Amino acid sequence: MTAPFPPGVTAESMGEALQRFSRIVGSEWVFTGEEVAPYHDPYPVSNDTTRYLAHAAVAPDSTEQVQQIVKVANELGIPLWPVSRGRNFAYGGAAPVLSGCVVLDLNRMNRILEVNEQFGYALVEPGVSYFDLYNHIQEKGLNLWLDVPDPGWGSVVGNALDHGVGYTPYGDHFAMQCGMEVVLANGEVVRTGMGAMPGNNTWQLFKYGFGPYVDGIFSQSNFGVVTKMGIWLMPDPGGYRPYMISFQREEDIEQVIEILRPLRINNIIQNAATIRSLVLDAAIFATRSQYYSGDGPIPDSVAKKIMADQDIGMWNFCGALYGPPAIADVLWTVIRDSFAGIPGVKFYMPEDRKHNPDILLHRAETMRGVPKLTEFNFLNWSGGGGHIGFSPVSPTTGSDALKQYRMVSGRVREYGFDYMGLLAIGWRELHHVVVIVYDKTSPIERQRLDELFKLLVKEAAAEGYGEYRTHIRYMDAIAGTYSWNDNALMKMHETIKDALDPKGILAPGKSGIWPRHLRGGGGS
Amino acid sequence: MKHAWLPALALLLTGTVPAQASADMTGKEVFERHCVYCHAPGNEHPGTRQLGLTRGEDKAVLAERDDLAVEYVQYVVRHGLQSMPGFYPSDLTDAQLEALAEFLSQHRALTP
Repeated sequence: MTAPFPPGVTAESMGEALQRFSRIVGSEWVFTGEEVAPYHDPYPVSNDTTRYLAHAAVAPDSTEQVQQIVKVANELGIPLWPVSRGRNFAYGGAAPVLSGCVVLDLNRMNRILEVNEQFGYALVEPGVSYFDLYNHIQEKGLNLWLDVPDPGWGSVVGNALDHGVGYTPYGDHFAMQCGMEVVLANGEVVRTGMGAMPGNNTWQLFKYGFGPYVDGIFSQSNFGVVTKMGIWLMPDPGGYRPYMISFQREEDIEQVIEILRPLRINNIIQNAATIRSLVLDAAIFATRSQYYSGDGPIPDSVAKKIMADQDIGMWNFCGALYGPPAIADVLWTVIRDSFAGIPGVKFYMPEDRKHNPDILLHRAETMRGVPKLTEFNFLNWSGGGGHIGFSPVSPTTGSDALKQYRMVSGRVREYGFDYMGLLAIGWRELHHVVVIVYDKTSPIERQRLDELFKLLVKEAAAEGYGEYRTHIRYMDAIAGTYSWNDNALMKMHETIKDALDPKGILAPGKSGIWPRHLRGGGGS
Repeated sequence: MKHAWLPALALLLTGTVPAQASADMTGKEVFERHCVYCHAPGNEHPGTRQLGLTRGEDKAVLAERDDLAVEYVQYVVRHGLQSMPGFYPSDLTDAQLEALAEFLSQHRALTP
């Protein structure tokens, strides 16, 4: 495959840039030709094989090397696509929106710079994975817990920057970040919050420093390269009791969410808990072919069989109690009594489960911050290897949850896929995370998925539901739905982009934000 | 006795701790760092499960396979296979990949 060039970049300029990158990082850390293969989107949706292809990759080892690379890129007009660990696979992995970018691969910057048990935080570089930080904490015997997303191999920094979520009381990862170091497009290094004060000792303790709070503009953005980040860690709560509550009917979701909202806002439900759909849970340890060999989504009769076999519901609420037993006992009494009136409800503790492996036993580990990859067993549900996430945000109301579920599941099934979704319960909103598993080797299925996804975005936006995160292919589409007041927010993003990165070398097209010379479709 | 929920004796760890693997890892060490989360024995590991479903249970556990060639392992690790993504050379170097491929193919080498 011929390496693509970005618009306006000559082979001579690219060649000079790669030579200079080699002098900065060492030639063994500049990857070209066949070495670029891992940087392609592992789960492509588009059938256009010229899209989303990197030209090369460069892997610096330090903030200083990032600065030097950015300066060269600026001088020669070479667009870079920064990735922390590049494990954001359902959203494109390390692949750039704009073909021809050089991936700025930060995997080698994987130092755990500090773990502070007294205050409960870590300061890490972007190449540090959840596995790395978890193992470090275990090896040192520290009294701290991590909060992890489902892919344990992901970057602690990258996941927070992309607004990822986990499942403990510290589940909102960006809310738990405190203090960044950022390389700007001109090569200057900035430290945010208290890090801007020489000699300070509260960089990872107080977020806001003095003046505008800017950390947010470096999340899901292309305004800088984050090279260090503080992340708060939860002290061992002194007790832990995971549970699962199952509900038998699809329509139960309405009542369940109405019961959940006050429990969550009042912190009776302490963690970022999830309500998971039947097929998503079934797919962790079973396959579709075990139950159904027909085309299209599974029929209701099959759903009932799965529920009986696996002792799970149409919806399964996985939560946990954190704290000393006396506290957990009280919280559990309130939670159990709140849901007891729903017909057919079942309550489970881990000791109640009949099988091993089992969905509650699996989620019990994730909800106490043990990084794993088990969740991705769902890829084995129907084979084919590909998956993508559609993730609109709703208010935590029963009517919104039911409406969301019916809208999305209806379309997903209409297009021939099984509905695999979960509702991640935030403080006041639901992330409705819908995983669509598809055959990535089938151009027909990819085309069908592409049509479905665009329709889902459009229909969700028409009802006021916006996505919180997306695959590289749909960044423009999602950004276009945040259009209030004649796209005022995007205009502000573009003003910031032009000021911080006038030559547009950092991640063109990330979150729909394009540099001036590529706006209006120039990059796609 | 220390109560687990109370902050332990203040312990401040400072200084750089590299999470990265050293360049001279053995193949087994590379496997344990990069591969076991998907390929350890047991159905909770997606790679093991996928191989069991697609290749048969006798080929599910990667480290017990006797049919893996060095070149095949090297190709799959860089290009991915089915749901497995390719691994970046920045994270799993060519030298580490060579050691890994030798480790996974050793049963094959021992087979007459």
